[in-house]
Formats: sequence, C-alpha cells, structure tokens
Amino acid sequence: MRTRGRQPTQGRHPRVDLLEAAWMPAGFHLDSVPAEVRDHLEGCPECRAFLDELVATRRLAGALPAEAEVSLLEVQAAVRRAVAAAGRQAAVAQPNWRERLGFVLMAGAMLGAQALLLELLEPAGFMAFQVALNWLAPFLFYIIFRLDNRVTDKRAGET
Amino acid sequence: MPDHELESLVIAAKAVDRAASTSALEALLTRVYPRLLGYALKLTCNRCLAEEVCQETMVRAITGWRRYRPVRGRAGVSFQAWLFRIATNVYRDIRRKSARTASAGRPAPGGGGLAASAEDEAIHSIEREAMMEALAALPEEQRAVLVLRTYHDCSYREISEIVGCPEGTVKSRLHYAVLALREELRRRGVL
Repeated sequence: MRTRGRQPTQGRHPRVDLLEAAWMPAGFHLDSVPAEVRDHLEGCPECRAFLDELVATRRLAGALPAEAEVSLLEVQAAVRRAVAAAGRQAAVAQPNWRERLGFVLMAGAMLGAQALLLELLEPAGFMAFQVALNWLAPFLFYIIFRLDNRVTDKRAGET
Repeated sequence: MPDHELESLVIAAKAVDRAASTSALEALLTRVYPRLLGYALKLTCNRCLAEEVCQETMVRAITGWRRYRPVRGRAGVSFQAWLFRIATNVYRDIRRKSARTASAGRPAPGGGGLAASAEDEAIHSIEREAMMEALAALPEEQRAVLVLRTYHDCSYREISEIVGCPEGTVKSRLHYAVLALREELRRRGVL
C-alpha cells in the first residue's frame, strides 16, 4: 500500500479503519472514519479504490435478506414440532415423582417387613426367610424393571 | 420487531409462571423464527440443514429456558443472541458428527438447498446467488462473524458471546472474512 498523505493515528493501517467503518451496522459514513484516515484517502487512490470495493461488497451483501422467507403456517408448525420434541425429551429424561415415591415406599415397606419378621420369627425361621428372599430377589428386580419400562414407554407415547 | 420490544416481551415471559412461560416462549419463538432461519441459512448455506439447526435450537431453547437470564443492565444476554449462540453450537455439533460419518454438514457451494422451497423462487437474482456462493466459500468461523455483523447488526461483544471467542478475535475474523468475501465476489465477476 502506498502511504502518501498523513499517516493515521495509533499506528494502525488505514485500511483497518476503512474496513471497520464500511462494516458498521448502520452502514458506511465517511464521517465515521478518523480524520487522519480521511486525509490519507485524499492522497492515496489505492486506498480510495479499496474503500469503493468495500462499499460495493457491503451493498452486495445487503442483497440477501436478514430474515428467511417463510410462511406463518410453516413457522407455527416448526415451533409446535420443537415444543413436542422438547416435551418428549423432558418426559424420558425425568422420572415421574410418583415413581420416585413408589420406589421409596417399596424400600421402606421391605425394611419394615424385615424388622417385623426379625422380631416375630425364630432365628432359624428368619434365616430361611432371608434365603428365600435372596432367591426371589432377581425375579423381583425383573418385575420392577419391566413395570418401570412400561410406565416410561406409556408416558413417552402420551407426549 | 424492534429488539427492545422483543426484550421486554422476553422479560414478561420470564416473569410469569411455568405453564404460561412455555406458551409465552412459544409465541416468542414464532416471532423470532424467520430471523433464526435467516441466520441458519447463511451459516449452513443449505435449506434442509438450516431447518434442522433451527429445530434443534428451539428444542434446546425450550429445555434450557429456565436457565436463560435476560439482559438486565450489563448482565445477561439478549434473547436473539442466546438463540444464535445455541444455533451456532448446534451447527458445530452437526458438523462434528457429519465429519465422522459423511460430508452432510458441509455447506453446499452455490447455496445448495437455499432455493429448494417454493417461496425461495424469488431468490434468483445474480447478486444473491453470487453472494450465497461467496458466503459458502468462507471458512465457517469467518462466515458466522460476518453474518452476525452484516445481517443482524450484532456488536462485537455480542458476537464474541455467540461464537465463544474474544472480541479481538471477532474483529480479526471479520477483517479476514470481508477481504475473502471481496476476493470471492471479484473472482465471480460481480464486483
């Protein structure tokens, strides 16, 4: 770049100021260019041509609209789809409070039953009960697991 | 719709209870959608991909609505900037995923599906076509900064929040993007 004319301030290249001014949101105004750069422009045809190209580029960029052309019907359909999808995600991600309460109550009931049987049964009888419970545990877990899946699937289907 | 009007609607939507807040957000998204799609179209240069980005953006916006803090003084972020940030991240995620599988997330030179729908029939002017092609030729980071500054009048601070980089980097990316755009337009003979 030729550097005839007065040099701009801050040691910046005049073209940096020109580019910033050309790409101001409000559009290009020569007043927004620092006075030093304006002086420089008068003596530098290359920078003048650079500025003209920037302004033309900005004008061409303005040929594209900021907003997409889309009908209100399409917008509403898209938003409704998004709301439904967000609802599905939320339903699957968060367990229902009833389920949580159900699991807590079940665990409490099991502990209560154990404490009661410990009081009522002889040690040998209680041990036999424990063995039976250990044997049944996988089946119980399986039933709870299936039940939980059915609840979750049903809820996802509803949303 | 002016930005200040939109922001006051956002604050009103945040003030109401949860059920009413969701319907208020729905109304807000309906208003902002054309702008969001406009951003996504220029970012992706592909109509189908842009719609996918918008859809996922809205889903994330709805699920994350309670965490969103509107502008109050110097704190918070504008609703539009928040949506654009989500959209930028969604597009990055799609690009990352598609880079692993195929080239689906890559912008199609020439605008791809931009003129795919009926209402886009109007977009046939040489200048618009050339502009979309030139935009598609830019690197993704530069394109995002250029689009936000040119079409959505975002400040450097807002852009830095949206794309997640310092203001200095935003200025530098904009600088290189404008120069690259000028070169592209010149190469296509429209400048």
